[in-house]
Amino acid sequence: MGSVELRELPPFLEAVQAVVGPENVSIDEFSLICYSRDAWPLKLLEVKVGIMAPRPNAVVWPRSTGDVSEILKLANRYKIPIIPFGGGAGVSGGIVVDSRRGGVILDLKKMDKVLAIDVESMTVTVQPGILGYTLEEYLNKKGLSTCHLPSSDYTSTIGGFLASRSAGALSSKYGKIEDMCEEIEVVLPTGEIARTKKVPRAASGPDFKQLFIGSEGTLGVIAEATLRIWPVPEVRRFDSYLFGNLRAAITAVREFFRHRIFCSILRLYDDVDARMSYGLSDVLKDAALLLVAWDGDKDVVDLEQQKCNEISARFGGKLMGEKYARAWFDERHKIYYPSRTYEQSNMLADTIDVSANYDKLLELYSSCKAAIAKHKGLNVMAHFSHFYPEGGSIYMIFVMLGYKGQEAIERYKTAWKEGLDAAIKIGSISHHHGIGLLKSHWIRNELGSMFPVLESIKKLLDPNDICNPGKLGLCITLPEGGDPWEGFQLPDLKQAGGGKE
Amino acid sequence: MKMCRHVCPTGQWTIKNEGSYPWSRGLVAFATRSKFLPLNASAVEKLYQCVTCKLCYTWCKPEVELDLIVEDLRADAVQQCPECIPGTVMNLAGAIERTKNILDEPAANRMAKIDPTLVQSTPGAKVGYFIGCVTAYRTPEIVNAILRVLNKQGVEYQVLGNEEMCCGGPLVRAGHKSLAQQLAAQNVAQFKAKGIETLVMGCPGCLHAFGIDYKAEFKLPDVPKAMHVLDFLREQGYRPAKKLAKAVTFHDPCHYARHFKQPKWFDIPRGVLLEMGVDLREMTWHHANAQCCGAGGSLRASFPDIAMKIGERRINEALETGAQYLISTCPLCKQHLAEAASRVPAAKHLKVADLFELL
Repeated sequence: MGSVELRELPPFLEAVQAVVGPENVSIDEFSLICYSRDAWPLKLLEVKVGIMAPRPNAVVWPRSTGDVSEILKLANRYKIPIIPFGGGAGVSGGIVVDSRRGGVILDLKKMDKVLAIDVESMTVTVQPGILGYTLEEYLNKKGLSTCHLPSSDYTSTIGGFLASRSAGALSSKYGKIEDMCEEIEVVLPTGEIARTKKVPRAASGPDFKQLFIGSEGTLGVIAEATLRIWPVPEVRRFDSYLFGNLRAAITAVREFFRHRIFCSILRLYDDVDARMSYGLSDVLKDAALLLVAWDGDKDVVDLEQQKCNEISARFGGKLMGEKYARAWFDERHKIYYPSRTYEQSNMLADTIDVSANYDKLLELYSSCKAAIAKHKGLNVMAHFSHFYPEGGSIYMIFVMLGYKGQEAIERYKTAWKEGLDAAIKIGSISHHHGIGLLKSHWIRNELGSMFPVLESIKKLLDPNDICNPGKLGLCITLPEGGDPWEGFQLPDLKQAGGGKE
Repeated sequence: MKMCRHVCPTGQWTIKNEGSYPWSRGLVAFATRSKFLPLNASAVEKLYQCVTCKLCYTWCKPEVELDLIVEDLRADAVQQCPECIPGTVMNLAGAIERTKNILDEPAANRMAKIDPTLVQSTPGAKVGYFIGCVTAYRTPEIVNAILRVLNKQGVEYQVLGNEEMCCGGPLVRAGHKSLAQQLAAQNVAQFKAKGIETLVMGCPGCLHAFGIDYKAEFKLPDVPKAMHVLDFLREQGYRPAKKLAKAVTFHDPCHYARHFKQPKWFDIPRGVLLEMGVDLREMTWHHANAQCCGAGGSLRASFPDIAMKIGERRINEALETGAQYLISTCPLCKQHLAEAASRVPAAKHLKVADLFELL
């Protein structure tokens, strides 16, 4: 049973079974528990004290775009909310059921095929349920790559990437997922199937792909996508520079772009994060470590690296060798694993991913850091994870040590509230982790005058609020003041038997 | 969390239900042991959908041994919720009690399909060849092949014949730990009485029982040294006499190098194949990343359809290599993969065999 009773659920599921077969419909209790959360750390903290996330009412597995279409038509007929689900690897609660509406999970993992590769145009067409790693392995065997390498790609899907506007390790050169998608097929909330044209660029009205990319399942279900691919580069070379301060490092990065050098990796660590992450205990206060990589033909990479060395030297950057950048790249998946140390010592870290243009980037960093660090027990460090010609993104990382149970939950919420309140005045509250439930309270202010536009589009496309209700701040009334997450969880969901901390 | 999702043969390759992945089995363990959730039919089903291949461990940076956790929880389920457990798994206990083997075959028939002229058992020999239930009753051709090699090498060995009892490994995997422990004690007493100091076997499942369960789980003293018979022979200097100029791919049994955390063992059977002059081709998932055949962890008994889908997938992997032979060193892998191959039309000409059948 889900957390909310849906009167029309039985006839809905019976009708869905006729479409996908009984083996692709489930109300199994433990399965529903597993579909109730993604990788949002708040839900993990809550599980430890026996608070389980609201359960969906059922799970269905479509096998094709046609199945998705039929299911959404039925959902509208029976007024059943639908939550598209990929790998469940999001960190913002994007698939957590709105506890006031309930809903049925639409698990897309059985739609996991590579449909076509066009090596002339260098594109690949896939279904949304394919894991990022699986696609990448498939392409690598042919000497190709998406060059979209999020650290979660062992567990996250292409559909999830598109729905949340993900970024990968190499986004400074290849862009984020929204830059890589050439074509998209969407099932609209009322069941119609819509598809964009597969062309590199066009001037035939608005770019509709960008309406659905990042919509987090609220405007329909992404059923197919064509992505740009690349040959695996001849070389991927790594190096790093130590600067006296963040400003010097950022100025150097900005200059790289101004000289038309698009490094594949640009990651900049403040002094605290450099010491923590790389054991650089002799990094002086306020120093900054810049990790760099270049992709391409060897002779081109030689030139780019040489130019970057010259630029960095001008701003006091000291060459540190390839060790740190290569280690980061080879071990980049590590961040997605729970740490035994974390589990055993009640230490939890989470990242607030924010972004701004260069003119506000350091202000964003300082402001977020100060807002969070003023609270006892919240330690803050940061690295700038992605850079672009006009600005960059920052992972504001807060670490809580020694707190458990309800106290940990409160501290966690405080860190996020402070971080987002600070960020929203200066830059974006999300670079690539998406909004989900975690940031829904802030989305109206984030989008500002565009929020009514989003609301209008939602009302037009999804008149019954079927698709992932309660997300992106749509069609809900958010609580004023108090706990921004209040109302997303019913207080009596704690399971029988009590909990233990 | 979930960073092993992409390798799980049941969750990712077959079932694709979020409740059937390694992370969700971890959740069952945490939630039920913490009493947040009851150990009921729904939770227990997820525990028995694990093939205990340990491939998730290969990818787990915190090194969580979920197979051990699953086996512990299965033992909980046998005690607390026996009605939740698949009937075929519960029947294993009855089979052992009746016949001392997991296949519920008459004990008196244990040696029936084995060529008696090959059995050159020397009472009191320090080396005991432990045949195993699956090998004896289902793949006796492997026993005959192993005996030929042992005889040709002049190894002095003894076999227990119809007195041989199940190693208990399948019971541990399935959650019947108490019964397994009783059987283990009887086995150790028997080996001691017969003077066996080294136990060799062709079944990694038995090897896991004697080499890991008896010591680490049951803390039994006087357990003979346990070795795969191929490892034993190589230590004795065995070199294959026969040649085979064919394309061969090797399927790594889960309960061998991976479960024992001995990466060098992956290349022992490969070394023999290369000395035979085969054209050795690797499947996409090989060595420490080898996918399970699908039969392990009692999955073949509890969820035969899922087990067979995994097997068919492995057969398709083998076919992708273009190999003519799919070779393993495990009787259960051979039995299961041979059955899977019979269900894949394109595998009509693929020969599935144990390595000893080539020697």
